[in-house]
Amino acid sequence: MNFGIISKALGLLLLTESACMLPSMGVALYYGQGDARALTLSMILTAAAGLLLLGLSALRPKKGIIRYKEGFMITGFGWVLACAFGALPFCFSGSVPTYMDAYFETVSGFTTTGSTILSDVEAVPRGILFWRSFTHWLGGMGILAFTMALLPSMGGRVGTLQVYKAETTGPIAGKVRPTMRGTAKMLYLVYGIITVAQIISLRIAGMPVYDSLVHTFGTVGTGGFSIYNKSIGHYHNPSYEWIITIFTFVSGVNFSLYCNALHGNFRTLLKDREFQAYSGIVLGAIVMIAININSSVFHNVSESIRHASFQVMTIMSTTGYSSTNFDLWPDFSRMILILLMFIGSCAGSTAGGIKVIRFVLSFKIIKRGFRRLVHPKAVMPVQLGGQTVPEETLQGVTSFIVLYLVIYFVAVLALLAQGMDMMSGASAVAATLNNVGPGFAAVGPMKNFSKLSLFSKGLLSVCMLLGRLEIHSLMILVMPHFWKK
Amino acid sequence: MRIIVIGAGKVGYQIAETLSREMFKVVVVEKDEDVINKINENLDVLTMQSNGLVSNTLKQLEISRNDMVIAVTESDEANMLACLSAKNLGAGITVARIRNPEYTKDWAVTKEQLSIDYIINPERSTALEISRMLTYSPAGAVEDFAKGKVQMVSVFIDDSVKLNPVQIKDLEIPDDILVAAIIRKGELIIPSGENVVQTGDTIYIIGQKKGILKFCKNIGIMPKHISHVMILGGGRISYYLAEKLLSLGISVKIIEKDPARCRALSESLSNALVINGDGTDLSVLKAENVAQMDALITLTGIDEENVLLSLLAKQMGVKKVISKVSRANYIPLVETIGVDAAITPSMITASEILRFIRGGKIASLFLLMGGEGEAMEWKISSDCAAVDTPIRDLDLPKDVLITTIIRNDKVIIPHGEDKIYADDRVIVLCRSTENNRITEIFSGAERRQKNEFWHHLKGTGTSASH
Repeated sequence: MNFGIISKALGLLLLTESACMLPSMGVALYYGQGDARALTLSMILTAAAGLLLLGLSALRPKKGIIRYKEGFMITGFGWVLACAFGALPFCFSGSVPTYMDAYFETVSGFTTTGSTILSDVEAVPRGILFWRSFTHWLGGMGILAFTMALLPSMGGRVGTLQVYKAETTGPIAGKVRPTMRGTAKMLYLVYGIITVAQIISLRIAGMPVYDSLVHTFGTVGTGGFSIYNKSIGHYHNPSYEWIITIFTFVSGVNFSLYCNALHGNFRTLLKDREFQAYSGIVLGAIVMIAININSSVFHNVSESIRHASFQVMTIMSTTGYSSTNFDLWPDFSRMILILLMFIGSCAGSTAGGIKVIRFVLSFKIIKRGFRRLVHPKAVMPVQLGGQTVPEETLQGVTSFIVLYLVIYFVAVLALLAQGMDMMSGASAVAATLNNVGPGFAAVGPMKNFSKLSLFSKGLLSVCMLLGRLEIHSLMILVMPHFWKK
Repeated sequence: MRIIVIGAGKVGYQIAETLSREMFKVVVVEKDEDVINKINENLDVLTMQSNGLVSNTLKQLEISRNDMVIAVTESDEANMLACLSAKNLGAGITVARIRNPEYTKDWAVTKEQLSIDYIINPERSTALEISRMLTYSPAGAVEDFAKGKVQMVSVFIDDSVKLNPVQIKDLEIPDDILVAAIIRKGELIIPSGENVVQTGDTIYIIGQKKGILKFCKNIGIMPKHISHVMILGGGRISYYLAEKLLSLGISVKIIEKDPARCRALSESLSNALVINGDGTDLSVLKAENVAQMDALITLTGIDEENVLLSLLAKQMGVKKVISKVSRANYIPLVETIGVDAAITPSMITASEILRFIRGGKIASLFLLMGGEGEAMEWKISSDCAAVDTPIRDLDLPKDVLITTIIRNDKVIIPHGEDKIYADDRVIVLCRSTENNRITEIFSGAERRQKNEFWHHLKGTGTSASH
């Protein structure tokens, strides 16, 4: 294990994070609600820790490259550390009662979950809230990818593909540019374009500047932190809801497809099997929920369609905004929403969940299984868009889904053992593991996670990290054989 | 005109054989000494044992504009390179065999850039031929003439066929078709009105598709609807064939022994069912329901296996069986024992090359009986010797039959008093030995002159090659 290179990468990561607190500083100074001091302190501490790590790396030889092990270490510890230091502003400003709460909030931010322990968001100073939402934007595309895009000394290293793979969602991670740094830059360029487009759209619709920034970070990062207790429902503005609906859909698509589209290759986007399945699921879910809530909740077709679309998109993209209290919807609709949490969006997007592509591949594997019963000797490779998917990837997909469900049920049982009711427990884990945000019942859209025990908050924080890093990248660090020489 | 064949595998050998029989001057360049010896023993051609890609070899041959280079080595890339080198040294015409499906579909260079005048792909041609046979189900071999307006099909006459044993001129057959050839016990007969078709014969009928179908129906050969096809062996022919059949909406099952090949096939043909198993193992065939198939195509590398499995399948009730038989001399036998059709890729390639060499006036050419007979389509120009003369006065040799005339899109089965006019298309069937005579009669004046020049060359060529 090359600890020199690991501590160097982590040091650079913390320095970047410290720099990322600057915009929030600006906001804090602008509004003058007394949170600038907390942010300054956090920045200094984070930067100091970063420099310390860099100093440590200087003591050790820096030769060699990032291999599998180093890649996993950087990703796993990188996320844990980034969240640990990202939690400082919440602590220093006194907005949250304990460090555990602050950590939960930050993990929820960086993993683009959007679950909150804040009972009254509106009381928190604006600089802190800006930082809270900005973590969504950073975490969406990957904080390490961000560091790579910014710093050549990190991105230039051979082997950073390991880090990229570990951080990017989905079973198949490919470069869209010959170099790793080029890929990270390209993805962030696309990300930036979508971000700017949404800010402009919201501004045109009439949302205030600060609100539109915060809600755009929450949308394109598919996070879901709002600055109002009633989330987007606060505004009672259909055009805001439609804009967010559209941008959650956009953010749920594989970003490498946009990179192709930027070069005029729109066909690959429309022809992509995962994109087709994703769009199909979205449409189907909207239609079913709209019909279901049309008579029972809303008495107006356009309202039903609007809320159904908003909620389907924000849940499926694992954003977690709410335009209305969907916890009051009929069970049929609520069950569909839970299913959508697990499906998630496309691989290579900023969304969480199991990802549509894994379901597409699983169904192909199942279909092949049935065909094989009739033709035991048939050779049937699973293909996706004309390309054969390697058997290893297929095994990875099935084992991922099984492991995902095992973790889900273990976590649910741990919550229920503490006396939580079934719907709350089941949806709390679904909402955090899938990086959605709000669940149902006790953790519903109009409630929050503050009343959970310290243990539960820690457990759900781990769930969020596991969900964001797609289990393996994080879990490997606690496997004994990983540490054997 | 000299023809230089680079590479003497099955196809190279067949081309050399066919062309040398046509009295062309042929030079064969081949690395393998054994092959060279075999050619020297059997064929009247000049041989050269060396690498056809080396400039020394090509320079030694003194390639000139009158030469045609046919590159048919094992490797596509070597063939491309050979054409490019030959053209650089001044060859007139270059032909390359290119059979990798990836190249046929998606090529980064054009054939002009590689200086290739004509590309042959034996596997693809064979596959298309088989697909034609399948989709035109009553008959075995099918050949299109005049852009499909006229077809020639082979029909095997067995006990079930209702055909009166009378002279051909008394047969009740539709007006727009003709019995063009009879193959009896391995002998090619160009029939006159007096011949009688017997059980066990394979007859070639030429004419319009409608008439042929009507004839087949009359004699009790029902068209078979083909919707499920099984292919044994997963080589390149299988790939091209499956691709073609799938595009026609026919379901395809391929059985192949080699797992890696199975994988490659199933990846490129996502709609085909590829089974990894030994096609010669009856239990595998039964498990895959061979009896329910409409057609079985045997394309393994071993002729005997292909034929026997076809017979077995026919017995189990498969409507139509077609076998690949690499040795042309097996064909007459194979088609008499019940296999619906036998195909030989090298023959198909040889026909293709011959058609290309004769070029210009010949629009279509088909070799019968391993090259013993030829059916060819001529475009008649105004300076042709046969124009405006009644056919009976043309002084045609005995084994030559003018089967059809296509005039202004109309198909005419000619009689003695009919005349050929300029701009007609004429389909002639003859014994290959009469080929030169036919060329003299039907080609234009300019071509005739050139022909005489060639004959002269051929004369000296034969002596030179000894």
